[in-house]
Amino acid sequence: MLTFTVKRLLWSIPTLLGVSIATFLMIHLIPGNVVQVMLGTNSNLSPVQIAELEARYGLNRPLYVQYLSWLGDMLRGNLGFSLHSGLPAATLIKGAFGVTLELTVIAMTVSVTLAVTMGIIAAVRRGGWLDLLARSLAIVGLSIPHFWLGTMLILAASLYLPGLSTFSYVPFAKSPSLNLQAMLLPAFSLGLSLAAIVMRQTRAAMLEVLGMQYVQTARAKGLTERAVILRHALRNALIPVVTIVGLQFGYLLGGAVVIENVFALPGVGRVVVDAINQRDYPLVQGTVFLIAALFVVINLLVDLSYGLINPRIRFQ
Amino acid sequence: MKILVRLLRSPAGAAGLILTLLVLLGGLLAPLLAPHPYAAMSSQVMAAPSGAAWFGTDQFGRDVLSRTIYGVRISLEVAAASAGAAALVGTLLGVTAGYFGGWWDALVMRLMGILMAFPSLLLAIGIMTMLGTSLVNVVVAIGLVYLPVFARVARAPVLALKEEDMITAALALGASNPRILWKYVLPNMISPVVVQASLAISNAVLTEAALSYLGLGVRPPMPSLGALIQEGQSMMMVAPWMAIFPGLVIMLMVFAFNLLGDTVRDQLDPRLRRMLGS
Repeated sequence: MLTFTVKRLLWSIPTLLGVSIATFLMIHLIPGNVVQVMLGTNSNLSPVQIAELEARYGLNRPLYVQYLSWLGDMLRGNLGFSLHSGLPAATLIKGAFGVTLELTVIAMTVSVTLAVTMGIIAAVRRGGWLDLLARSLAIVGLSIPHFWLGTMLILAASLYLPGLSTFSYVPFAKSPSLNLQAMLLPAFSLGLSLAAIVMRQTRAAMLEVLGMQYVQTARAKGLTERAVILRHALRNALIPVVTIVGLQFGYLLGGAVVIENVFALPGVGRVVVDAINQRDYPLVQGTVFLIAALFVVINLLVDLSYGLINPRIRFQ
Repeated sequence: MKILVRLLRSPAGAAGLILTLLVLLGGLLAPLLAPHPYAAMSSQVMAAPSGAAWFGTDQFGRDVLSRTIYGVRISLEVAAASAGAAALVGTLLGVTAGYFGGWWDALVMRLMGILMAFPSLLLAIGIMTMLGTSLVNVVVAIGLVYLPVFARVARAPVLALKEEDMITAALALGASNPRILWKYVLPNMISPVVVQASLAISNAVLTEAALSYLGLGVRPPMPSLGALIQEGQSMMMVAPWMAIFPGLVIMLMVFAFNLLGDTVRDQLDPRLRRMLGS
């Protein structure tokens, strides 16, 4: 397992470097440079003054020097400065990141718990009405745009549940119950399509595993159906499900950007969209890099957990 | 043709095909189907749905039905162009990487790995921020997001195919690499790419809608379904129809593509076909 872990850790380094290069180059694709963006169209500065500003921000250095200096800053936790507020991006993102992470984790926990249960029931009752219901819900869940679902939930809550505190975010430390109330609808909107994907994957994997000989052997030994399903079949069926869930975590992080804007949650998504609207590119860059780096780390953890669940993987 | 017959025999496949055709026709015939031009304003501001305006009107008196129909057209254009471009370029990269191997394979797959390291919507947002809002840029952004999936899907079967006797025989007979790829490799690995393309279209519709919801899609006044929902959200308590109908239409489009894509996948995958017993 140690060799597998070390190998996988080493593999993620070039990916992280690639991600950093791509994120760094993003800002250089904008017509002009950061100084011109800062000055806007109303600048009365002379070319000499502009050159001085470029030198101050290091934009006159060769591209690779700029990249190495930027990468060094990133590794030290300096994500750059917001052009709009002048504050360090890390300060602006720090508080927001907790909100996004909480939203993502709640969405994932609720959807995976529901979806795995539904997937098992659908596979065990294959062809029955519960199976049909679960499959129909899954296909509908995959088709609903999450931001539209969120909008509809806000409308429904305002009309029918006026007492529900859905529109004002309260930190968990201040009031856990109000915090969870505010997270309920966003998490549901965000997690529905993940639930659909996980349900379908669990059902398909369970159907495959339930047809295998070792499951028949377990039944022939006289084990109860419950033990066969939960102890023998589910353990193997979960392997592809874990991969899907891990890969979908990135999807949830991306989706959270939109959902936070629907529900006005003060998360990273709000920071990114506000930064885009204010053409605050260094802040966009820092946030994108942070989320992408987190995604790489999550993929690494998923791969490692895959090795833990399935011994064959780590010996290959 | 056999696939089409099988599709029509399955109720889900037939429903998916009919719904998809309806959506496509709706998009193609937008100028004929829409009762009004998409930017035409009237004095009937925020009128509720009625016989005169089925989906109601918005805050400028524009017909929501007409704007939704044109929105479907734009959504389809973006989805087809981005998924098509991603399928074409991704397949080319994946097939050549798998077939030639070596440094080309390592380079292509490493680049694809980097693109895949970004959450898809975040990558699209990043690209749109840098490129600016326009129809072409949305296609480029969504195309780049789905490119690595196609490269991976295309590469995997080629790795096994290139070891087969028919390829060795073709090489021994002096066939050139482009001829081998075109005549022997592509026809034997295209099924998963077709399945992926049908599923990518529905994802592209959702991604385009999310981008335009955030104001990163096509430029107004060109109507896009996501932007219509965003406009409607601010009027939610007084004119809920402005957001309800475009959302329902996105749902119908994605549902149709998913239904069709799922059935195509079931029919093209012999393993799944055996499991389903059809």
